[in-house]
Amino acid sequence: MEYVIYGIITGCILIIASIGFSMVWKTENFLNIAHGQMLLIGAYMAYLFKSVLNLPFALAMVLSVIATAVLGLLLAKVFYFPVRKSGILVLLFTSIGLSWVIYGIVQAIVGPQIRTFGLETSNMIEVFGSQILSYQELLIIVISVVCVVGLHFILTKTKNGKGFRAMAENRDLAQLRGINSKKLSNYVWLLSSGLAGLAGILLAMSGTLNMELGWQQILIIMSVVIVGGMGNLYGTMLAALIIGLSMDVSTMIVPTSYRTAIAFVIVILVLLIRPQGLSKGGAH
Amino acid sequence: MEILVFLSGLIALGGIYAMLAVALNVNGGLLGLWDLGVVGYFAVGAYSYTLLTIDAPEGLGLPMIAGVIGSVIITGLLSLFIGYTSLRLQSEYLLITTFAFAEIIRIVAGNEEWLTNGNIGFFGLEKPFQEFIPGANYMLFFTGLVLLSLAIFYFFAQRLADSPMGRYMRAIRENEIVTQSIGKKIFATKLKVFVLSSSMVGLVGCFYVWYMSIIAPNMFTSAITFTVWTALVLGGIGNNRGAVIGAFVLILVQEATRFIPVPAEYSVVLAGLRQFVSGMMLILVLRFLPQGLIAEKFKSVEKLFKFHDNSLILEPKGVGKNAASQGAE
Repeated sequence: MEYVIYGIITGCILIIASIGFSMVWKTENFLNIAHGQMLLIGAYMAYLFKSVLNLPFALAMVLSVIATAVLGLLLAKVFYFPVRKSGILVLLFTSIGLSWVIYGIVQAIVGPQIRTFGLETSNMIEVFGSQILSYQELLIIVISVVCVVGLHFILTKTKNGKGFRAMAENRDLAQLRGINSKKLSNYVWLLSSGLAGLAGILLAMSGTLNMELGWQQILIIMSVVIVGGMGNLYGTMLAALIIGLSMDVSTMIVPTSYRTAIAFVIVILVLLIRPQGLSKGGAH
Repeated sequence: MEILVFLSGLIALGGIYAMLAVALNVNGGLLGLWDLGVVGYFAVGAYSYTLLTIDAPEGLGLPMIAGVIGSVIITGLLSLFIGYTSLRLQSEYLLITTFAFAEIIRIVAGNEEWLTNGNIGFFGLEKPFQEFIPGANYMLFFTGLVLLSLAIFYFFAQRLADSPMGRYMRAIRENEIVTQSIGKKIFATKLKVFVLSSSMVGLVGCFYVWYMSIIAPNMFTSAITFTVWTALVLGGIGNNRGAVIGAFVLILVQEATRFIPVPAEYSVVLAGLRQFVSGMMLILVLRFLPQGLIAEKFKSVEKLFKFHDNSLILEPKGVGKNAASQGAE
């Protein structure tokens, strides 16, 4: 049972981490490898606010999500927008270069030590007499549910959300119909980087904070997005849960160190059987 | 003398990366496969060489040359499997699948202790001809060996690029559907080239083992894949000369910072700076020289005819009768 809970928590974090990646892929048509490093930035920002500036954790979280979002948009404007015309291969490699740049800067500042947020271990919640999860873990689940519901609302009810879906389907046609694609892609970058920052904080909350966080996660994020079907947000959410669950539940059978390998085996299998991913088609 | 040894070590490492870049250029550059699994074949080559040559009980204790040949064969067979399963996929999907295979290989190497000795790996591995060349001079000899095999790699890749097969590979890269429509077997060619390129990478794995004289799973992280691709992009995709130059430039820039004498507490800053510089180099080259330092050049068919008309050399295979008759007109 506890493995299932861990799996759900991993899945929830993966949802938040993957949605932004998926949105960028959908609108900009390239794999943004630097998305993993945005997780790193978010996590270390929160560390800065919480442990260095001694702000309350909730405030630190909000501030670092906002800061990561703004930083993500700035980086996109400086690095990606000028080379957009050169094609997806150039964008892909620019994002690899940017990952190295971010990784190098963060490493130079924080050094190689492994850190934690130093949160007090919270009480366990008892259900039917058995302790199943801590308040922190519950918080992670609640935050991701709020994010998913919020995102669903934005995408289906607001003008920008509808515009995003139109643009994801057919950029030219959307522009023709008077959708301001420049403004929209700014929103996408803000949202995507903010979510990445949030995912980084949640990851560091449930584990530790180290330099390799970005590189480790980007692989799993890519697997999730592929399994979910290219740029399909709801498929991505489902895939995140499936991969999170199978990674953690599999530790009952195989050694823990094979946990990430499970995610990759799933992605290879899915690609071989269903090259379009679990759910085909656009974002509904 | 010390500086000479250090420099030759640097050149040897650059040469190893240059060989990797040349091998990657065969399928990544000429054929346009987005293969992010380089480090996987590299690790398989290195591990199979080590396990074949190291003494029992861990290994089979075979002679060095058998280890080298065996590592090429094993890498080839494994890449045949990986290629057969994943080469039907397009661009991004292929990229992620090969990436996933490479990660699985690394995780297996770290966990199957009965085979690979887990995270500790093996150390104190023998180097070729070590007993004939004493101590300090050995690095110079080894550098020579690396450069010699780099030359062979380069020559081979250059011949391949100029061959009918090379033109055919570029045709697939530029437009797969058109190439298919003129009756070429796309998948079979991709598989052939993929296995060839991966076996070349596996061979370089042996050099890496000799260079490091240790082997452990953490030597084979995806950073190597990205470094090789960066080298290739820096130098110019699809161009062997570019691949070699890109690799040397990148390794020199990364390793030259080790020269700078800094107090120990700043070594982390310096390590970060190294990553920063490599990343910035990649970004700037892509922004201002999207073709890389040396752009890919196509030998025009017309040039080949003129050459023929003047010197009446036997027509190279595959230029085709069609083209020759046009030239005659």
